[in-house]
Amino acid sequence: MSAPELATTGSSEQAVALEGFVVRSHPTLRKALRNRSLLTGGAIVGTLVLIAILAPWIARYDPLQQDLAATLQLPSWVHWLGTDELGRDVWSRLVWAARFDLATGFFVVLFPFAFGTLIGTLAGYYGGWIDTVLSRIIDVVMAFPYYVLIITLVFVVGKGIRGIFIAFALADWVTYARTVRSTTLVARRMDWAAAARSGGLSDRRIIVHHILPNTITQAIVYAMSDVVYVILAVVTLGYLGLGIQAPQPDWGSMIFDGQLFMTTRWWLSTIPGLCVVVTGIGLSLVGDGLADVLRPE
Amino acid sequence: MYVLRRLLQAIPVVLGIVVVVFFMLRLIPGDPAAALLGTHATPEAIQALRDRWGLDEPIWVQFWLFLQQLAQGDTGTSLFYDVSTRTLIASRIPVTVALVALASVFSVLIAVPLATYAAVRKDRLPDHAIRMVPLVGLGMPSFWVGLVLILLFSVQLGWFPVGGWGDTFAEHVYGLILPALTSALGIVPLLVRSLRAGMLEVLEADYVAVARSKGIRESRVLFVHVARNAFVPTLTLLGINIAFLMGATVVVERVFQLNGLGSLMLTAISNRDFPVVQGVTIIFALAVVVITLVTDLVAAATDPRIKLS
Amino acid sequence: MVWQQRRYTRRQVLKAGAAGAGLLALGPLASACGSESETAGSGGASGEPKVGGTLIIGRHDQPTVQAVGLDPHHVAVSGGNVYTLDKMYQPLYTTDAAGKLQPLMVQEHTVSSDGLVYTLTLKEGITFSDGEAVTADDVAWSLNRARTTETGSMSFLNFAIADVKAVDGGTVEITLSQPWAPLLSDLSIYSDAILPKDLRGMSEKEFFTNPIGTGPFVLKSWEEEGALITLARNENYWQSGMPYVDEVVFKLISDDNQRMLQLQSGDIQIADTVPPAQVESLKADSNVSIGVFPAWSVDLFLFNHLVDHYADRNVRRAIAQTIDTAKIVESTTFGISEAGGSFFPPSLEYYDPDTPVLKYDLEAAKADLAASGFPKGFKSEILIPSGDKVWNLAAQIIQAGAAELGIEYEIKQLDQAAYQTAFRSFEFETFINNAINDITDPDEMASFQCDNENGGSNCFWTNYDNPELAEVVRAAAAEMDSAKRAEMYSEIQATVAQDAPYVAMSYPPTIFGTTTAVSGFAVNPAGAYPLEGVSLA
Repeated sequence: MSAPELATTGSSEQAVALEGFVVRSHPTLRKALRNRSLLTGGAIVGTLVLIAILAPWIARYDPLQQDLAATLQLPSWVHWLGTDELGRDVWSRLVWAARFDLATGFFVVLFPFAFGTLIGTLAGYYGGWIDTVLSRIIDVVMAFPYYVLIITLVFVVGKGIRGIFIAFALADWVTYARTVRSTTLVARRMDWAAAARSGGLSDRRIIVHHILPNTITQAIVYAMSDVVYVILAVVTLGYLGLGIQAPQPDWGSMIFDGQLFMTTRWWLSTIPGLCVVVTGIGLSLVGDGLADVLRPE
Repeated sequence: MYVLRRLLQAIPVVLGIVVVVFFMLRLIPGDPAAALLGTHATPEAIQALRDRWGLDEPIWVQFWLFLQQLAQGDTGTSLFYDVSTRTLIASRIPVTVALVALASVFSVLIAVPLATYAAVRKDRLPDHAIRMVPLVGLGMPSFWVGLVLILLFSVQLGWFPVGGWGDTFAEHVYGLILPALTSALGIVPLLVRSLRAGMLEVLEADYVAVARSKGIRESRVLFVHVARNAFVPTLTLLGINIAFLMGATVVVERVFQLNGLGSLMLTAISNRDFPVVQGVTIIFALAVVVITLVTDLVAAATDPRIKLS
Repeated sequence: MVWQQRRYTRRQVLKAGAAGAGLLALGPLASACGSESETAGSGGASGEPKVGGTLIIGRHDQPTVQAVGLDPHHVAVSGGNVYTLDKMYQPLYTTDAAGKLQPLMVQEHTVSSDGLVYTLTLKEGITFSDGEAVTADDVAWSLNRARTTETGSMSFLNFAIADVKAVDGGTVEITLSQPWAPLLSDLSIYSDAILPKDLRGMSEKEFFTNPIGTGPFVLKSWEEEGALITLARNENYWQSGMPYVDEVVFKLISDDNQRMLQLQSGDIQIADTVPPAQVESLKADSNVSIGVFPAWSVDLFLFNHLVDHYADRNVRRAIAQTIDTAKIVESTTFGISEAGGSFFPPSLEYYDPDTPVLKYDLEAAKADLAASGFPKGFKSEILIPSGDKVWNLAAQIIQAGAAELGIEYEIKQLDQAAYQTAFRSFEFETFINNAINDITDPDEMASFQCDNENGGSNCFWTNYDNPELAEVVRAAAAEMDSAKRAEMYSEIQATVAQDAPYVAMSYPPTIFGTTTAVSGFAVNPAGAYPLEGVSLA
């Protein structure tokens, strides 16, 4: 499968030659503090995370508390964003959804990130038949259009958060693996890597102490956008009837449930949509900033 | 040599795709016979259908049959429609190909000028504004974009049909404009971001400086040197993202009620019409493999460095 | 024009019937009528209906006919299939828009004194689409074929028929194995359609590629695997002057938003399955009429009695009393559906409004649970098909109600295929589904839902096993006296209400949208919509 990609994570070997680079210097705090993208993005993401953590205090009602006598109410002082079809407070659901979606996004990305980086490093470092086999496996998975694979996998493993977790674990690691493999290929040809090897350092030591610190930054940068892709994919799965189990508040199901009321109560689906966009902006800025900060001089 | 190696690499990938598709689909719970016959179906009727479809054969037997058929270029007969999946897929391909093609055109038409303008006006207001595009665009689900476009351009303004594909060529193109735009908007953010970076590199390159110093007009510099050098990276980028564009058709075709491969796959998967899902998935995957291959070869032909590696 | 048809109570149905066949959308009498309040659209009240035009209908369901053939006698029951076939083939009787049984091809019928032999005289002048007259031989052959097919989804309705034979060219004799009140009603099921004897000597494949029937339309083309079906006027249709439109196009538009938008833009003239949530905004559109037609349809919350918790009558009663059906219909359908009570929908014959239904009552619910084997509550699951908005909301309301008793429900969504497989193999704890009565006689619903042995579904896959109740169901079908039948059905409804093998949540109407160009459109309570009386302005 392939999520949309950045140019720097080219599809095949020549992309490495074209655009690959190796981070030679470690990021410094000062550089980070001067980076506007990183600071703005960090502020946005930080606020969202804070809202997510403080959800129990920021939300004004229990997000699951139904009031069937007060459904689909307009925004008011009592219900800042009105109520949904079951009379639940939309503001409270929005806040709790932030907690759920951010956690889902980061958590779901964790495994593909770790596994993909591992596979990519192994393939790139050892080369030979290991690389050939792993690369072909990566190619097979990448050949499936993103949603085609995710949808099929969700049918296989079942709906809901468990299904989504497994589907992404199986599908999403390849992008990391390919990116990391490319940079590792370049890194191991560097003089210092060769020197380290001839100096008698073990492979494991070289990988952990020399290769990984250089290659993992790109994976981290991609992971930032990937969190957004995951949230978007969950939203889209909801549209296709394959999303999160009710009554869990989640931006995707809020967008989906609200779209029937697009003409009468636009905010029901637009505001959770905006939340996804803002999250996207925040994480992209962080990603951009990180890329800048970690880029070699 | 490089061409041959890339072609050989594609073989295990195609085989892998076939194996993955077949077994992945068999793992999906749910009985196609029960799905077809509905609530009032008798157990006898369900069993009769299962027998007819050979669903109770051991999975290895089914796989062997599948491979035999596939070797002859046949992906089997649809359980639901009782027609060859080849016919079925052939009838749906034009819609999806047209959609993906038009979406690619749109994304280039939107992304290249934006990226160029941003690069030329680096760090000034237009650049900052355009750089926001990827950030905002990234966070918008395409079904949502599609719905908003329909509400705006079809319902409010009445400029475009709400959905469907029409009968004539003109109607096809007309009907595809909004869906293609929706698909394109999905990848425009990425194209803009990468192209802008690429453009900046070119703009700072020596030969551009030389051209400028020779007093060649700025617009000519942009057009001849920069645009030409941006062409291949754009193509490569599109090639890389084609899989994403194709995947997006699954959603976009549903929003706009287009009967292409994507909607065929969605219906087929919920009906458990395995031969059809197999056929469509394999076609999708093969298309990605072929397009990636072609992109790589084109890039190789234009960049001698690659052949050496 | 916006309108909403009033729901019928049983008495109103009877009255409407007595008012004459004026409501009849089928049959020669209907041609001059257009009783405005019973038909959607505004144009048809005065003057002769306009002839000509192409009627485009956007449907939610994918017809899946081709794999099973266009054979009405063993067809898969899905909305998409049935409502294509019933435009091409017709049974002997039909259900009119008011829910009354009407003879379609039958002039008159007599019953022998023991109730075992029905003699039907066919109307004269009924022809197939190839111009040949319909004979008693065709009828006898068709009914015998329909009742003996093993894979016919609805053939259980014909189980009392022992034989059908032609007495002469225009007379058919049906012999029963036992007295059977629902017989004529059973003969109105679409799957008891009349075909030419021996399929005119053709093979099934040959015949059903280009089928011959008595219906107002014939198959013109079948494109995109059934996503686009075109029917053309049957030039030999036996009801003179009809149908009014030249062609009917069925378009599959599964996405709700898209279907409604195409209706509003006039790309289609009729849209089925209007989501209740959109009724309000569609009514504001002056180009669109929304028709809300009462249906013999009930949404059920069903317990799996093979699960220990639900084998316990007190548990079922307790949960039933946490379900506020009035609130459910208000929140999930904005009051468009009627709140559930008896498992018989109010428009169905022999519905008893005085059924002792378990009402929403938390205190009583707690008392019942305390008396059960699980006084502290338990964890369980509600199975629903994914993508169904109304049921998803209903499940959440039930979930919140049961939580008051310490019963924790998890909502499990499966897509249609997996959902069907799950409940058929009893792999569920509770689930939500809909039951619809396809004919005028309530025996279909009663036996399907109360007769574990013969009903064909183990009481809608609940495994509710109540042999005494099943006896009453069978006796009610064999009883010819309608006053006695009414008593028996009241008893059945009371038993089910108190036993709570499942809970009737709501009675959803059928909701269609039409453009104002359409007149003469109506849906009967079984969900069928004949199109010969429909015209376009």
